[in-house]
Amino acid sequence: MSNNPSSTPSHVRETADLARLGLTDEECARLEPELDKILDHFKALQELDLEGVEGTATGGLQDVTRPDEPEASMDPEPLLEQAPRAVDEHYQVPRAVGGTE
Amino acid sequence: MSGPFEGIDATGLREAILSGERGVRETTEACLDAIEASNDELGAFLTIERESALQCAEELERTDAEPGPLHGIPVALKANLCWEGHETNCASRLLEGWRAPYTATCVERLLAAGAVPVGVTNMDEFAMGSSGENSAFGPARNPWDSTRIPGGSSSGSAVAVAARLVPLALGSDTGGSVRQPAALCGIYGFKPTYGRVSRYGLVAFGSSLDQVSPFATSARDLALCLSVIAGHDPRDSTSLKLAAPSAGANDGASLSGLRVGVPKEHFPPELEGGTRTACEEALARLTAQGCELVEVSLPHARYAIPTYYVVATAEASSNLARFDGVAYGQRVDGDGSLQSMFAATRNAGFGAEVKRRILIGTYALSAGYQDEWYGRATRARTLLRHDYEEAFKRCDVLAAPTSPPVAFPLGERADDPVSMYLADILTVSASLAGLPAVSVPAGFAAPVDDPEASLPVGLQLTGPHSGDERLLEVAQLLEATGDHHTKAPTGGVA
Repeated sequence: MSNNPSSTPSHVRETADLARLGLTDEECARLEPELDKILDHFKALQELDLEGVEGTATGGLQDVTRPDEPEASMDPEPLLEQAPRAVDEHYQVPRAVGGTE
Repeated sequence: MSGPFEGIDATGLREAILSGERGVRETTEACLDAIEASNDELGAFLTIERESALQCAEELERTDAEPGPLHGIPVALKANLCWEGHETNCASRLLEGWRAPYTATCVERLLAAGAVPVGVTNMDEFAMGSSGENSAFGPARNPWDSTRIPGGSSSGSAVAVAARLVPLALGSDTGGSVRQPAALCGIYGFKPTYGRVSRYGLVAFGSSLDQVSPFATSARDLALCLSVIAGHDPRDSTSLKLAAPSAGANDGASLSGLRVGVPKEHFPPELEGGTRTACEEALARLTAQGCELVEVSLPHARYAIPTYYVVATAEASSNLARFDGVAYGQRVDGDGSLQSMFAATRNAGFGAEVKRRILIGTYALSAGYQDEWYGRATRARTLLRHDYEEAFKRCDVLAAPTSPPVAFPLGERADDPVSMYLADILTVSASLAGLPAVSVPAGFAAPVDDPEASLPVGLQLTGPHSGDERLLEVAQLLEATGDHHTKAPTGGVA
């Protein structure tokens, strides 16, 4: 997946790793030509003269502020109930550093 | 195939309920029975909420409070709108079983207005698709011909309204996800100006584009629904500080002198003949009422699809990062590490199209490619916005087809992502510019694969920023000149 049609499958694998998508080798092999075709179609963007044109991130919105006053937050219980795993008032996940236990 | 609301829209139903001609509980039961009877064939609903709907109906019958503007009206909600206690799974395996812990602002407003939510509708997974086929739970089917797609991504909401199973439904429109299925199912679908309806409680896909949008069988119902769900919401920082419009404020208005812009790029030579004819007939009805047709140009229209798909996928890749097995829905353990849990959960939970879009968006935002792809797309978006600003100097509304093809057969484009993306070619521009746009029933045409068949065509009217009220007024006046909107599917089972 690159703007080069002769790209190697590693581009899809690299991008999938960035996106935390654990694709199988078969999926990578299938996605590679699909994504090349899609990006090839999108290449029209490269021909536009954009000199001096500012980007539009949203439709003309302005920053919004409010007084910094404490407000009641959502009760954590119904949120934790919907989590795959929770312990007391926390989400439970595998250890992130120093081993897997 | 037509349900209990054939021949009666939400406005008419409300009158029938208030006059005592119909009861709220009786209406709710008839609605639920029809949904249950049709769901195996049409697949419009992911969950049918009989118990809560009947409870809601009974409360409305018991209360002494002044009836709200949607008193007793059954409504259906797309599966990406949070509704407390109800499964809001975005038609994704990843969120299967996830019950929303709070209610979206638009749903709260429907409830406060007396509406009765009867169920959660099918959709393309995380609102990514133009056919409804990307649902993890099987596709919804077009009630005019159940071998065909209803359009997407708000497929189930469109089917529910088109089959007259409910008079009103909410969807979300990011690049045409309400307007395109409305066109393909022969009903009204309206995307308000970006920010007009709060996105609080709408599961995010492309945050600079997403807009909660209603389906209805009449233009006046769109105005009625907008009057309920629109209005500023401090919980959505992109919500516009504009009051909700009042419904039915256009009595006595006329089309005379209205300048209708016809963008030549949206009537390309390759447009299907029947779609062109039906839209031209609708334009002729407008001129017969005193409208002036003005040819206008949107010179950057050919860049709309790449611009949209780069912007929307970039935003999606960021928004969907939260679905990692920690806080929501399903988790798949990997080899015991946190990173492998993320990767395994996401790979097992997301369907093929969602993965495809996350990859495109991640690529478009990745180091070394961001300026070339995302950066260029946001600047192209500025040019598209300027095209509209120029066009609206010469006209009051724009009129063009909503979708180049009528409903195509299930499976026809499923393996060809580029051809599927091109189905959105006439709807994404208004989304990128943040403008209000409505698809109105414009007639019927034969699909290219079956010259004997007759399927709905939609005409898209686009208005200037914040011109929602005027746009719906034009839709109502156009409605009064024809009867296409009154036609309901009668069979269609092949």
